[in-house]
Amino acid sequence: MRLSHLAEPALEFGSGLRHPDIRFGIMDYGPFDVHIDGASRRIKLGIVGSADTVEGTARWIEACSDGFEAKSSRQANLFPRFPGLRNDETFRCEFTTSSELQRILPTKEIGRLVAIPGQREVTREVVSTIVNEIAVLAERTALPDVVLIALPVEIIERTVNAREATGENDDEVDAEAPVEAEPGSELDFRGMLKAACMRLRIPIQLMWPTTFDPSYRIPRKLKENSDRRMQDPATIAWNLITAIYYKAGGLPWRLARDARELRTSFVGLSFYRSVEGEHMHTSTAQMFDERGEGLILRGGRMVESEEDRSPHLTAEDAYALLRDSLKVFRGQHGHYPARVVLHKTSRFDRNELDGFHKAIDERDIDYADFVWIQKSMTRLYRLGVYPPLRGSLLRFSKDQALLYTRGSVDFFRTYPGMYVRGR
Amino acid sequence: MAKKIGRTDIIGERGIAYIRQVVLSMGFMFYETGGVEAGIDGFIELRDETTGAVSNLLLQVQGKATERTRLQAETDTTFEFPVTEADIQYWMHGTAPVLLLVVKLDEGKAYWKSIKEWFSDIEHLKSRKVVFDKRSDFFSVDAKAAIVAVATSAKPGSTGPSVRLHESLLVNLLEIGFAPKIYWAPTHHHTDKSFGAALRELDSKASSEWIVRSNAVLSFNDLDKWPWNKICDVSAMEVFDTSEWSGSDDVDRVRDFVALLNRAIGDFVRPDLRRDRDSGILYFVKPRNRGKLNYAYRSLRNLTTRRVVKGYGRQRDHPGKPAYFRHSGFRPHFVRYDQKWYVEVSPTYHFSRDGWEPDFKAGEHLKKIKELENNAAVMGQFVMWQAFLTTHRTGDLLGEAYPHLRFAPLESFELDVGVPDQLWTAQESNPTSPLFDFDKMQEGTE
Repeated sequence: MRLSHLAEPALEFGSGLRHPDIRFGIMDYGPFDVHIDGASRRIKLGIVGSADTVEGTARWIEACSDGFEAKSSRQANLFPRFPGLRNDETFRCEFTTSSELQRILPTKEIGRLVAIPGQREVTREVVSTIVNEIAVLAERTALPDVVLIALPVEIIERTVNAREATGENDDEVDAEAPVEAEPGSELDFRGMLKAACMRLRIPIQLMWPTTFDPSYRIPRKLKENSDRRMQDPATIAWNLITAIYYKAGGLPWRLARDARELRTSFVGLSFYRSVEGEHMHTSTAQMFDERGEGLILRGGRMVESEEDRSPHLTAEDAYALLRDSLKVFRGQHGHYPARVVLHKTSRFDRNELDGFHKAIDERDIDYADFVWIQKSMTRLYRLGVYPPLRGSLLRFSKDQALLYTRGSVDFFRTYPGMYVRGR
Repeated sequence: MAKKIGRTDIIGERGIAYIRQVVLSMGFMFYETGGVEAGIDGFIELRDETTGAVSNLLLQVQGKATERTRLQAETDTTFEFPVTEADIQYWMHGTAPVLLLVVKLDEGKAYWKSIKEWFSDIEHLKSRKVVFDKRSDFFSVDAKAAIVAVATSAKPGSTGPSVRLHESLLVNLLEIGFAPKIYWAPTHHHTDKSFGAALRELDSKASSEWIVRSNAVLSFNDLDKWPWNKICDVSAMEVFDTSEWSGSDDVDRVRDFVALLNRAIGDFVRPDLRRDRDSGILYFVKPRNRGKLNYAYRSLRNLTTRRVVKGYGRQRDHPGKPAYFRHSGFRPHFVRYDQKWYVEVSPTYHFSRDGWEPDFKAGEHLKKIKELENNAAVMGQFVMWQAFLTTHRTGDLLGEAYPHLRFAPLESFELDVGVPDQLWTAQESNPTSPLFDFDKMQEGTE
């Protein structure tokens, strides 16, 4: 066993200038694609919600344009101000909305939805209602770049909060278990909504009314969640606007890379229960290239492995998935990558390895990494108040290691885990 | 007539020489203003010691050297340094942070203060004096991290050179050793439950390092001995090297081996600890006739004791009785890394109503205490469990060593980066708020 520390990686922003923090990087240098031709300098936002939440969300976008003061604190690096969106500040990009891009669900309709009995039924109906509204926006000549789903409190209570009401504890989820959603649960609601919107080819962003008005009270069914603290307005704006910028096709930042490094394609695999057939499992692969772009590919059918009862791909599906993914890479870059990194949350089984190797060998790719990521209860303890630094790496062997992806951060001079919360 | 240079000039020069020496030992640059100056003797420029990169992050320095043995209002821990209104005006007006450095030449010591930070307090401004804390304001190479913090705080978002801090870390793994042989024999019992019942009928104290799998029993115990030989088919018994399980790549074999280890640790910890059936947590048993229990052990430095069972609150109907008991416990998890087996120890608590029956509010109690415990508190508990597991049943006058399982502590790990705890806590908006190891981070934006 050997303990070491991986330094915080540098991120690249406008003109390729570097900073370790996303917010200060964007503030000082602009987003990564600011000087790249073809990058949108105007993002049109659609809004779907109740009369109340649509109005509030539009008001919030307006407020973001003016910016928010930093939270009053001595931790200037953890809580920077949000400088606003006007005058080429921050994203050097306009964020606009207009009544043509907004859809209001009548009070009566919301009443009808939340009165539907049954978790599964209400989730299904809410998703289909919202999707119908987005479909209307998708017909417009001036398409929105991103649609904000401004959830009314009544709907949050019946859908997003539903899982918490079942008393499930996130911490206790078995790390070996595949990521699966309970029917009607929070994950299910988001997953179903996202999957439905993927077909419409319009990215969405969920918004809570507490974003534009902290005085909103969202009733909690479980007592233990009643102390949820809201983030300060500047932090909320940073998180949401950065996400929206990315979803609209912008590149806020990318990982700084050395020109000498190999051209690498990163492929992530995940498994989920599909919306239509509750019993069919499918997998998706997300491929990131060094431009930082993510391209969703739909994978093959999942099978349960005899080896460890986790979801796995068949050899043919694994082969087809990576073959297609490499084709997409070639389409973007004009050549195949020199190195492929595959990662997922369950062990790679024999069939998958066979399939992936076939695709890799076919393209004469010399370097392939198979990374299997799992939550662990192995902990490092230091003699002090703060947990170990993010990036602490305990190597057990050539191919097994423990990495602290959350921990104390030098730039923030604290452990940010306890501050970053809320929506 | 002889030319002269005054004594005060020499004192000033000695002060600057001292400052320069400390600054250079930090790996930073020191540029003297020289010649005519109005209250700034020089500049410190931060420099990354490992790469040599200089940052253009500057600090202004005003040195005050003295040969006095006793400074104004000096005690063992503090002293005051009065400054003029004009000095304050000058320092506060500038763009760079200002350090006031008082060099006590007779002792060969210096003390520092970040002036803008100090005088941002209106009370300090009114008093026109700087109060130095001899411990926290001591100017030596150890003040490096704090000086970087001052330099970078002038402009939020600026990054200083990383400060190397040597640190030792523990990992919550104990390497285990186990019995070299595993015994296998057919039995007509189909389940652990029925085999266990038959076994206890023969011997109520029979140990439990065995599991039943597809009509055979697998055990660390010699099955040819009483009472096992009564309930399994000894004529067909086989003896294997444990390594056939511990080193196997077969998922089912490894699972059976872990099950056996779990049975063994449950037996090993007796009689002091008991296992909670639902959670699998091993926890200290409450003494029959007492409401509390202390456990004495050797911590990292010295002998210490920890209260490991205690009653809390009081019952509504019987105010003399506690509402519930809290038992120190841990969750054992056997893992194999690089062909070696370890037990991963996750400290936690068990809650009971009377020392025996589980408390239905356990979840709430656990949440509350975990919110109060920081990294150091959890580490303290781990050190206790490490002491328990490595010293329990190792064999002494009173009993034989436990034959099937033993635990060895791992060496601590050294890292040349770390966390300056004092500096960070001093900047927390709420320094008393707990910092959790237990991650409670919610999802960000999606």
